[in-house]
Amino acid sequence: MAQPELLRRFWRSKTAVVGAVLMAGIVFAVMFASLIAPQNPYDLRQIYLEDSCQPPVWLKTLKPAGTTEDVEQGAIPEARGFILGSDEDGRDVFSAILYGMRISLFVGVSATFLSALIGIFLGLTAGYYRGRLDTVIMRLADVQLSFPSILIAILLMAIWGSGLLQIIVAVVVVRWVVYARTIRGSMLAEREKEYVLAARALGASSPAIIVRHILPNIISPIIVISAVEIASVIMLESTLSYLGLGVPPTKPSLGMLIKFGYDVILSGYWWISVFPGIALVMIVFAINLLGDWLRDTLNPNLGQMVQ
Amino acid sequence: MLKYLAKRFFHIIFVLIGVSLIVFVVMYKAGDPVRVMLPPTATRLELEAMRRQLGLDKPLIVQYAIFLKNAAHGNLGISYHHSLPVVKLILQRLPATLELSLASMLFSVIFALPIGILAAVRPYSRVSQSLMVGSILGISLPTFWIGIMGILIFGVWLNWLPPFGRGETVAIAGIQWSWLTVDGLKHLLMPAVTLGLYQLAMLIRLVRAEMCDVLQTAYISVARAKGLSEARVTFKHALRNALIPVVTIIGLQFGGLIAFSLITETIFQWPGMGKLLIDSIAMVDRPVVVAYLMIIAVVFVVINLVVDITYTLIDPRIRMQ
Repeated sequence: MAQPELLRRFWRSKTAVVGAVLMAGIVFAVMFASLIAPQNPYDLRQIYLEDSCQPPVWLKTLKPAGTTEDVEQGAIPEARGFILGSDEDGRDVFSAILYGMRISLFVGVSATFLSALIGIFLGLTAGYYRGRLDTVIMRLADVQLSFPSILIAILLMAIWGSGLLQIIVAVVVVRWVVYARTIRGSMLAEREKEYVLAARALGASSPAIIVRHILPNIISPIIVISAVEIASVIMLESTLSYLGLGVPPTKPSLGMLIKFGYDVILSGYWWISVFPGIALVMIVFAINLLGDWLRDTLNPNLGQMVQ
Repeated sequence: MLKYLAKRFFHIIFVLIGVSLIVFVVMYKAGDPVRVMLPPTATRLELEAMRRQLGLDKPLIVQYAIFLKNAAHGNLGISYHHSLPVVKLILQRLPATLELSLASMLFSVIFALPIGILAAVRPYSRVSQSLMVGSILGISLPTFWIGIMGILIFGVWLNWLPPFGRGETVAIAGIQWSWLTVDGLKHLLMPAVTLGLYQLAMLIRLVRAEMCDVLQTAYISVARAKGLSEARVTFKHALRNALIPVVTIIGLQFGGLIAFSLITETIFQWPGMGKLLIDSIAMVDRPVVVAYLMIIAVVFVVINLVVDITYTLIDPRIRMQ
């Protein structure tokens, strides 16, 4: 597909544009989190326990910190306004969300990238060389796919304990299969084609054929899977973190922020879990909108009805 | 057919041995159950005695052999924490989980079929297009957050539905069920919708995609050319073929629903086996974790088998191999 054609199609799809704008906004917010955020939520010097559980500022029911005399005497600073409220420790929820999105996106992108790397490598080798290697890899994939990935991830995290590296490795262990499966399928279709035979006749080595000739031809399924995968990995990570089996409490992702909020939700402090949740849904929704458009556009077999 | 079933049966045994071995080794590394069971003031001697009593002083391979021998007799061990046979413990919790998963499956199928068909039959109408965008939003909502929002809005703010627990149950054949009482249904509604929402969004997209494919085939044009009514073409001719892959996915997803119910159960304090698993992992209750995963493995393999068999029943073109 020619580049201008692709762009034209992109502008014609409202959902894709909305997804892209949302995503651009999120990436911008995450990149400049330290400039946008009113406070650094991990700098204990900027957090005051007196600010605990302040409602969002636009609700205008600011509870004064300490007694009125305390405020008048200047012993305790006057209650500060928090755009989206503050949590139990007096941390600004908006700032925590900005930093939490950074962690969610980091885990999502790096875990997807690593599982793509491993899955593509295994899928390509299994599909090209076939034989015993193929059998072993695909049996492993079968067994793993017959079990819900959330269960495997929960078990792994239960042994390893929470941590950034641990959660990334656990995600890679459960998600490489998705790539390996699809890439092997595409490889099986490609390896019989004439251009592969031609390349072989010209004396190209197998690795060269795989990387230079076949890989470029199966790039579109890789792109489509990756979009969907980043979204589902972010969901998986947030679910695990919500269960307390994900990122460490010192580096809270959006899932963990929601968990913090859930613990106090019955006390009426709803904003602590509602806003991180909205941020999480926005990220996943934006990626899914883009992924949906990519699938319709790059996969000629699907979505002809919609265009 | 018999040969096929025998082959599948051996497959199940193979999977079970594999799962139990992996989980056994994994849980061996997951922590020391004795330390969790005894108070922190326990002496080394007490710890040792407890360990010997539970057979945990033996090498891993011996422990596994004993486990396999007992498992062959249907005994998967005794929970460290509840002091009950784990099979009994899990089977006690199974109805609650099954009830929840079935209810959410029912919810998603009832809504997904008409919406999916509508979106396929009128792909350009504004309603269908907003439904499709809505379904993308649906797959973007994390289960646990929907649950929290449900509790907050319907449980706390509006006070329409009870936020936690299973409510009043009625015993039938010794099993407690919630859906037979009004109170139980009220308790069931929110968890079931929470668990089923993702499923609903996914099924809408699947039904629509399959219907779109089928509606483009030649035999549909023939049916239309014969002068059949559009309703007859849609429901009698197109839907039947479109449903084949849909039934498969619904079946396969049921296993996923049972597994994913552990999050819904944790949020709504639903006393099912998923909540039992999460609690048991935290307490290093090894026998429960091993047994839970083996039971889930059985459920999965059985579901796969049933799906394969129904597949051949709906579509005679597929032969069993």
